[in-house]
Amino acid sequence: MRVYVNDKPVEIFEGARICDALNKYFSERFRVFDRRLIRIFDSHGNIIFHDGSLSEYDRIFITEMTNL
Amino acid sequence: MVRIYRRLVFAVIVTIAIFLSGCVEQETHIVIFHTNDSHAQIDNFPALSYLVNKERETTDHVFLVSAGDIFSGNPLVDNYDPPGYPVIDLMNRIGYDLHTIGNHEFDYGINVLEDRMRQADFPFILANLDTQSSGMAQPEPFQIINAGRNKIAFLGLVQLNRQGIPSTHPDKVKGIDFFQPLETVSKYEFLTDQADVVIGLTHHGFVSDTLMAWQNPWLDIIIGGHSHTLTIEPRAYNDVLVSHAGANLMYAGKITLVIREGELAERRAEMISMESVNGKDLQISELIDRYKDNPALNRVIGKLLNPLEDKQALGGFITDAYREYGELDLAFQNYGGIRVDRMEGEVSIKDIFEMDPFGNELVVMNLTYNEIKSLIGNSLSSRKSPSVQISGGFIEVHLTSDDYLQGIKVFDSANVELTNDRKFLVGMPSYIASAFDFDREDQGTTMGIITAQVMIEHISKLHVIDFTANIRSRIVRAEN
Repeated sequence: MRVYVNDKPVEIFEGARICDALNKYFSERFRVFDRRLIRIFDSHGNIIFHDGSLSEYDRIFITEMTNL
Repeated sequence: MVRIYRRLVFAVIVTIAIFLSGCVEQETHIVIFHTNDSHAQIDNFPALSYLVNKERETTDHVFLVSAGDIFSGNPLVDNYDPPGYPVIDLMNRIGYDLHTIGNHEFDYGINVLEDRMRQADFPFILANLDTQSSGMAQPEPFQIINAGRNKIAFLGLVQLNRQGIPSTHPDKVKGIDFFQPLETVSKYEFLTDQADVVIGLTHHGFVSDTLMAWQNPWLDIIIGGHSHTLTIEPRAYNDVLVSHAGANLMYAGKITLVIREGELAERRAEMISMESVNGKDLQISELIDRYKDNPALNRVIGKLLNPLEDKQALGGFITDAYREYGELDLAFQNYGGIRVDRMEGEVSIKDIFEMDPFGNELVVMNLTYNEIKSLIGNSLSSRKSPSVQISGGFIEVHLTSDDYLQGIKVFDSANVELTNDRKFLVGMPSYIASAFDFDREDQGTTMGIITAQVMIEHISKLHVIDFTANIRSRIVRAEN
């Protein structure tokens, strides 16, 4: 199924959770998903937990905390 | 004269009192607390109980409802004998009024679900299913709760995946027909004639709830779950208030209603963090401590006749279990997902969760031979050895004499190299399915079970395990 992370499409298995989509999103960018450094939101500004379920075409948005 | 005057004053006072009491009676204050997706996490029940009991001291009509997925996520509860029992016991004691069946309520199977429904002092509701062919009793689609002279209707709905079933293992819901929640809901508009307030108590995710709100303005409120969304400041969509309380019992939603003359006059919703509750129900705390002392996790489920001496051996045992569980052609396990270095003798449930603590689910994909080689190629370590174990095949990594990758070959159990003229059903933990960057057309489907549970079921079934580790991959280096 296709979901969107920060408006970028991510193809992921059916029944995937938010953390699976973020694993895929980061691996495609040669990075590692560290949930301690990520805040996840939906398009309405609600907070979403990393273990939440996803449905096709769901859109999630992340903000990253960084020390840089 | 004085007597007449006194009687007159008394009559006026009585009239005013009757008038005022009439006014007061026509206004009902209601508080509804709600949780969703608690996933067998029980640590915050004492704070929730304290919060709800405090409200009960000052408000006549206080209700506590759950929007699905109370099971699956805590080994202590999931492996309790019987599964899920502690959660229902705690919900009974705290005084839950209602629960909508979520997709994970089916994870233990229909028989266990029905046992837990019988254990509960509160109804489980769900509208979008027909259980006639399954042997399961048909749940009530909705429940109407009295709040003084007013009535509140709750309608239960659950999400369906692409296969048309809630996200759980298909075998767990065999024989049950499910219907799309957004089609089912419109059949219940008649509830507006039977209740002053109509609430969707749903488990199909925040986005579906907003769609439902746009299509069904006759609903007053939707209390939802499934997407683990925390509506920090719950809002109305098409004048339908939508409220979700996150997951894992870290928050509770609180909805305050005022009904005047049979009409919903006021409604507001807020989220309360369990960390912010400055008290706890000590009786509930003690009960949780007792449940935590339960020896369920130390229960021995099987015995290994031969030790599993390294990660290759452990991986072989694990992938064989995946392959058998899913009736797969091939199965993979990444070594990084195995958190112990050896295992021997008696195996307890706790041992399995130490070995596999990540909560990965088993995912299956239809892959071509080239795609399987891409998966293995993505796993190669700096020393060019696969960082995955395989079941159902043998891996050869071919290197040049100066250690450049030349190619990968996979052979089946009859030692015949796989071919690209067919697809293979391949199982793997969700970590490989999401974090490994390999070519594939089919992104796969979760089997709705965590890999640790696959191992528990496999070991419990075999009980005495005569597994001998064997070499399943090798590096072939070209000679100069």
